[in-house]
Amino acid sequence: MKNFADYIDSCFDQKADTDDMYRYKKELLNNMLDTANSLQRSGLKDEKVIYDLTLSEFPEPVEGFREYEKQLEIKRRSKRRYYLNTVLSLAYVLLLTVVYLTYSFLSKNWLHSWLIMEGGITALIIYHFMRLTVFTSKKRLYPISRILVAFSVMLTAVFAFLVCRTALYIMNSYLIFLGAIGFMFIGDAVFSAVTHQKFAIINYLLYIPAVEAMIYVILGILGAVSWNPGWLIMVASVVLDIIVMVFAVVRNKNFEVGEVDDQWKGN
Amino acid sequence: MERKLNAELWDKMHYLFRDFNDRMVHVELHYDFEIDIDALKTVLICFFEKAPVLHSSFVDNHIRPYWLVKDYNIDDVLTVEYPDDLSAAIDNFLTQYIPPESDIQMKAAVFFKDGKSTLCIVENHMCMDGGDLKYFMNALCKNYNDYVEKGISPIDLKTGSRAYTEVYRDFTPREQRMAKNLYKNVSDRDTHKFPLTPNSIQDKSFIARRKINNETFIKLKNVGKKHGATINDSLLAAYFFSLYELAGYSVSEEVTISCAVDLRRHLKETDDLGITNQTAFMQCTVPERGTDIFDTLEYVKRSAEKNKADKFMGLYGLPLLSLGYNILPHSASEEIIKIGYSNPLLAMSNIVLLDSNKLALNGHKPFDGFMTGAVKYKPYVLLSATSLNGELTLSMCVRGNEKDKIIVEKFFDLMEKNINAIAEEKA
Repeated sequence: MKNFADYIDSCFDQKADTDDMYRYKKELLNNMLDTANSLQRSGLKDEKVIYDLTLSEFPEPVEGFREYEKQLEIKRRSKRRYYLNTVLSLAYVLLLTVVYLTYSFLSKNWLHSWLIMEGGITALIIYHFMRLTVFTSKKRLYPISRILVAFSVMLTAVFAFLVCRTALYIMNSYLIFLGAIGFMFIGDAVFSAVTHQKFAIINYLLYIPAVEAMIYVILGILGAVSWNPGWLIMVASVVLDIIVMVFAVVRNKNFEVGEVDDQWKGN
Repeated sequence: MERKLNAELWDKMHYLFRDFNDRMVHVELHYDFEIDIDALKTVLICFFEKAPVLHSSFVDNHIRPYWLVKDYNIDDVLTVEYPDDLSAAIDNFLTQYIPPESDIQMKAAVFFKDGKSTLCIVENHMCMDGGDLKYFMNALCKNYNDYVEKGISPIDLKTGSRAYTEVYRDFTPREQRMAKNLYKNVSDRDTHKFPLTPNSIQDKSFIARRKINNETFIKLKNVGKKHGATINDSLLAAYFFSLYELAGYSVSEEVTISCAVDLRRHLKETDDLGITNQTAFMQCTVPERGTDIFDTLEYVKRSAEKNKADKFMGLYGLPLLSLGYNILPHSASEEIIKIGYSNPLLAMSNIVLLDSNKLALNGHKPFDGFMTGAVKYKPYVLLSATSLNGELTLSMCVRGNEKDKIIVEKFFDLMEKNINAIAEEKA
């Protein structure tokens, strides 16, 4: 059998291989040998044909190596970023612990100082959730991204509630969770818009009344708006939905499919 | 390591059609010499490597189906036999069914008899349509010849994307936006059907064929030209006219036949695309039968002209199908699509010209042959038409019984009569 290794070497000018080039050539050679063996198992007997067919499956080794180097560099950068993030996260947690302990010992305010740890860890978790959201969005794993956005909003709400309740002694702090539900929907709608999802408009139409319901309940409980005629907030949400639908219809009309429709009607 | 291939839109659509037909496309070619089997095996293996979907198993995991590339042996693909009864052997081979979960999606056979060879191919329509199968056969023969005569490795088969979206690539950006917004559901809702018997578990697949000789074919073309009609129009007119008579439709009833249209008409070049499906249906409707077949021909012509005048012919509904498959898991998508999609009861596959020069092996042109579509389950029917060496072959593949065979033969008798009526038109 003709020598795949000779062919691969002849494609490159270098006399000595770098580590990366050696790894690439090895991988390419193994792939070629696997292909050739597979062809033999399939019943192909003509060695010249095996050789030609295998080479045709792996065209442009030099171009392939450039692509391989690019991918390697991306992987390396990604690894460096991952290590840096891990180290910085650990350093952050250590620093946070030092700050918490220093403040606690100096102020003796152990009753509230734990909020430093709580807030700091929450911020760290949200930071990593956001990084994961960007990663999963790039991979188009939108359901996971949306869940992460929702979790981030709820975690923030938990911290805000704890601060309001335990440090500021605000009575109706639980309303933060109602507000957080509204923010979750808003966050999800923004995410849908930013990622140009196909049925984003359905999200808007559902979330508007849901958010306005939360606003109505929160304002009602706080006494900022009376229950009657505060219910008009819900009517306003229906009006807003109609405005959104009209806007979508008007925008789609600008596509100028008139030509196509005319042809169809003619048919 | 496992290698997966995307299940494209049309792959999934043809998988959905498993309720309507057996998804097999058939080719039969007769040569007056004995094919070199080793050379043919070499070419087939090379082509299978170039088009790995041909040796892949369709995995329907109900969420996102895909093709899984599998190992195979050429002896599983190619059968070589010396049958006593050539017709029976050909029929048995051509009417076989390849399950989508099979490791190979194409099977070939060579039958030797009296110094002649019959090359038969059966392939899964999920992998490629008639248009690309025609290309495949031409490429097979060219590569066979280059290999046998010049020792050139037979690796010249087009490879590339199999995605349905390639059909838009030669449109302007504005046209692309328009085409990708053609969400209209254009399924054929006509309830007129071919008068076959009801389904039975005793039904078996059969392929019925009828030849129209060269002389009649030429006359048909010439008369068609006189009326400004294509061969396709003339065949459709004969189809309509025969149906009215066979099925007893009232002459004033409107009938629709769906015609396969090759969407590659929208592409300037297809050499850099993979073998795939790019076929849709266009509806040809006649408002009534008309007094004679020439009236029917006129109606067919008008309907065909309207369709051809549409820049986006055949592209309607594709975005809707794509949306249907993308927003839900596959099994749910299929149920939703089945609600909106209506498989045509009456269909015709556009005439396929088989070029005997391109199908020649070692200087031997095929002296007979045809290509035909899938075996339809009742009540669906598809009339296929191919021409080779100036002869037209009409074929219909049905899963039915002896009575259905008689009905189909009667249909072909009517087709012949009506084709002759057009061809023999007095000047």
